[in-house]
Amino acid sequence: MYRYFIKRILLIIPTMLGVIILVFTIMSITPGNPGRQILGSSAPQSAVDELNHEFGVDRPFFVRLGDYIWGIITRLDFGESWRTRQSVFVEINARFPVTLRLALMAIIGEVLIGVPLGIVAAVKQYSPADFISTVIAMMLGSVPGFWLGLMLMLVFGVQLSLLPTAGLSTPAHYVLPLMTLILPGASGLLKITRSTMLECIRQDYVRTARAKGAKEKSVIFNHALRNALLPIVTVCGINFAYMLGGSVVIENVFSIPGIGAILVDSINMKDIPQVMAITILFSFTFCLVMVFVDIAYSMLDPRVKAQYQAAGKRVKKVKSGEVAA
Amino acid sequence: MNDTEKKLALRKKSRSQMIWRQFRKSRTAILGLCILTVFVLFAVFADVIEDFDTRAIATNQQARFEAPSLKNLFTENAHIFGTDEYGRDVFARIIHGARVSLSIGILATSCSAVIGGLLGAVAAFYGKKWDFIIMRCMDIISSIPSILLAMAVVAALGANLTNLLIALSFSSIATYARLVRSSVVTLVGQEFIEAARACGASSFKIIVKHIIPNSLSPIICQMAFSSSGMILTAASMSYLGLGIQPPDPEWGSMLASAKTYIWSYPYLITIPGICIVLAALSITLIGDGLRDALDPKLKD
Repeated sequence: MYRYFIKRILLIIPTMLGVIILVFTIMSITPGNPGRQILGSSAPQSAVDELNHEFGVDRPFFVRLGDYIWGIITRLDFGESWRTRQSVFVEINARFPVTLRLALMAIIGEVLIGVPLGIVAAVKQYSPADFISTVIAMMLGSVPGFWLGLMLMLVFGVQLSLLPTAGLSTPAHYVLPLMTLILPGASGLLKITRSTMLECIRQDYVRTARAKGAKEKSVIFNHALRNALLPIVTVCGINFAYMLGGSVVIENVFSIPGIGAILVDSINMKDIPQVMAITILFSFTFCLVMVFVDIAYSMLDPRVKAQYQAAGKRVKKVKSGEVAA
Repeated sequence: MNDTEKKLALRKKSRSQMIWRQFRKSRTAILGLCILTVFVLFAVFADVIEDFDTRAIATNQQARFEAPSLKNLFTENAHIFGTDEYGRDVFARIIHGARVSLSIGILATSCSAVIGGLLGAVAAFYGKKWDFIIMRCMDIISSIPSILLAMAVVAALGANLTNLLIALSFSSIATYARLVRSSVVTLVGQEFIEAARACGASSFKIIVKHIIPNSLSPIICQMAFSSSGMILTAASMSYLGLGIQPPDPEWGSMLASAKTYIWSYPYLITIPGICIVLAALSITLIGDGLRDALDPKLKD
């Protein structure tokens, strides 16, 4: 059991190594050279060469890749930003908490709104409540986050003048960005909760529970919901990870000083080390969240737990068999 | 021989007819199809309806920020969706933008489906070493959030339409590889594949004739859903300035330039946004309908 988790956590290492190589390779296929792009076409060749030498991009690809990976493994060194000439973590450390806080608040909001509504929609299938929430969820699923943000801004900020539209200085400033992040995620969660709950409610064990006289509340929550939780948890995990990515756009709409704002700036200014560091950091967060989702599976579902245990035993058996042979 | 071919053709036709019959039953799917058809018609005949250079690109300082109106509907000065900050007709920009958005949706989805699908099929069919190598690469690609991966590609290659297409296709290859792999793995074990192999069919023939047709329906559904996602992502990227560059019309970049005028000219925000939503929604509705129509469990 624990062996499985440790294995799962250790598996992050090769994946992240792959991510680093992939991101580094993508960033190295830039047409032209970075020095020329930063200094512009009118700059003298000597200045461009000097800048390229300073950034170390005049060395062969594999040498740079090796250096980069070695730096990360030994010193957690992701290089220096080409724009500020400081470690990339200076900006990341200042901005990441803002993005993380928004994403955490948003995922909590999503669960609180999406799951209960999904349960209601499934339990009262074909009722007006089901119809309205499903239709709204479907519409929200097709709304791009940034436009939803702009529309909320237009209605609550501009037309009604109720809420501030830029920055994050007071609690009121959080309302619109959070709504923008929560609404699409909650609608996705509602859809998945509704469909899995509908499936579970039709199962024989739910009928059995009803037949033995269990209270309706207990049937819904203990029998149906408990079994429907796995897909819901998966979607929560994926939503959280995508929220980190999606917040890039939302932060831009609401002028929030989060990590998305520096990402876009860095892309526009060709600050390659900063872009790489942010992409790798987000991917790492994504991997971590997925591991948590896996661990949550086994806590929620004894069947999955049993599978892991069985898998562990099987490995042991095979090994002892080999020794015997 | 000729007879069997005829029979086969007949069966094929009846299969697609059956899907269409199922599809037609869903009113929402038909609604989606209607909306999408309108968009496609406007996009195809965009040049006939509104001239690209004079209406969608050329600036006209006298006609800035004209509110949407049905005035002068059939004259040269018709601005049913108003004009933007450079006096360009919003309707003209919308329909030329529809061209860009729809073709991004279709092209990026088909590129990623073909490449990802082939990789998945190879992984499942040849198994072992290839399977391990390809699927680990897919794991790596899918552990980078797709919009970030697309941004990284654009950051490396520069922002324009082609690079946006490459970025979007690349970032969703993994989904298709997984999907195709899982359906092929279940197929390869089945008897009719074994029978085909016993008859001496080559691997290529088995893949093309037996495996692809049998694993097509989940891929078609996924393509419908992901092309609406592609349209949304493309709009977001253009909004951030990482996609189509101004002055070329694109819904996302129209919204980006309109954000400055949100206080005074809100129609510049609402109209392109509604178009994005309708386009994405219509494709999602069609996808829902297709999923139900292609589901073998619902076949009567």
